[in-house]
Amino acid sequence: MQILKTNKFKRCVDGTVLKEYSVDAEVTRDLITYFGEFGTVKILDNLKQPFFSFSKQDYFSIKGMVGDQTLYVRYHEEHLEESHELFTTMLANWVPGIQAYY
Amino acid sequence: MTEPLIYLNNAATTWPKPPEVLKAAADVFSSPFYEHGRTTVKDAPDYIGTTRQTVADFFGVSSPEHIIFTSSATDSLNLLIHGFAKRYGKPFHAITTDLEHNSVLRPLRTLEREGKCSLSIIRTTDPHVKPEEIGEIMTDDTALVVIGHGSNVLGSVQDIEPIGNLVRSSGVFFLVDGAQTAGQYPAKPGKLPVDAFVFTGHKSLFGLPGTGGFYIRSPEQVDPIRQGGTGVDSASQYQPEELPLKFEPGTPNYPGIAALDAGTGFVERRGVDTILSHSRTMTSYLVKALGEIDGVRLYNSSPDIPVLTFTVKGMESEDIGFILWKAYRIVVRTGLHCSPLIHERINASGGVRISLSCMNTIEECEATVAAVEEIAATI
Repeated sequence: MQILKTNKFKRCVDGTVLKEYSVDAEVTRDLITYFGEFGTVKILDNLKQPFFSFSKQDYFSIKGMVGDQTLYVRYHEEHLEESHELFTTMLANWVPGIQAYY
Repeated sequence: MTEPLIYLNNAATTWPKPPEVLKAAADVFSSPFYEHGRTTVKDAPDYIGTTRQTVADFFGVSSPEHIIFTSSATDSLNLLIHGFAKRYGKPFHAITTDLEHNSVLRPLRTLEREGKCSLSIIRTTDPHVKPEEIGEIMTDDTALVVIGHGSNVLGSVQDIEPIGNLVRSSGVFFLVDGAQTAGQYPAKPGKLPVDAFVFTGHKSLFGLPGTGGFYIRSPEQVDPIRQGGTGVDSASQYQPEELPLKFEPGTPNYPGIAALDAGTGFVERRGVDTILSHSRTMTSYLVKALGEIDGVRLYNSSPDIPVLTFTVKGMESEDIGFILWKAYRIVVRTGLHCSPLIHERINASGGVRISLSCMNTIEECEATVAAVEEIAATI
């Protein structure tokens, strides 16, 4: 999975940095399961469109909707660079339909 | 097919705008602004004078020149608070409440930090401020009381009359922030015991962002903090003392003010009482239906205006707002709503706010309750 575009950038007063990314494939349950290898994942089913959140404590969190091609990532500023690198690596290593090796 | 959008963030800015508002703004752009009073075109349309009269009539103000146009309620509050301090000329004691928006708190805190005032913030115990809560902390040095008419978090509306009578009987300047009430709650500041009443154009008066203003009864108590061209008395190098010129330097927002005229006319024709009745029907339904959902906590179960803030146990408010938008196309607002102190008082770190306008329908409220119910059920 690749990032196509960074749509938003916001520095929050709580010391986090919020970025919104457009990606080249839809969020699937397989992707969310894969994210779970790196941190804590929560999926809310039984909604009109399932919601998921991912958290790697003190580093970054992701949220989005199954079926969307947008990911909302909140980085902790003190680990911004390494968190961003981990996030992009996670995405780059994900190939839809194929279990990634990492 | 894309689902219709349900817009419930009207306490921030109302949407949709009535067609006549959009037309009024577009009409202004379709010809030169002419700048009535500053132009050779003697029969040019007087957008500013016409709107001033409309707004004065709406607020029960007999002298339209006491209606001042600004760019927003925040702008108005800054002009009035800093202008009052400038005129007062020595440190004073000011009083406000924990219900207030940052547009009140921050100018006051700035004055406090500069040593120009000491500030008492009433820690409320109820959505409604009691006059005696203010009376108890007034001192001989108290010179300014600033109170929001309607809370943008709790939806409570303060009873201005007894508070104003108490405050003004001691010669204290009484400033009321009407950003949340003007246009959706009956109030005639021209007939109320206030020294100044602030309004915004783009909320319940259905104008555009970039417009606001205030009614000032006692202009001699506030100095202008901005100076500039007024189109008259141009030989003088000092700001005119007459109203409204004293507070209105610079080129006005012609399209915005024309839209405000149309928006105020829309509200006047529909009737504030009718608007309030419709919003109370919808709000009562929401209070009851949301209150019955397991895990939902309402900040205030009897709001006076259609502003309803809630949390869902076990879920971040920001996530609820996110899901409402992404999965249901429902627009709400989450967080502190620029009013941090009231969240402290009710022990919440931010909530989901539903705020209605007279353009909303009971069907939209039903769809919203169904969506919140689905979200709460996933916890």
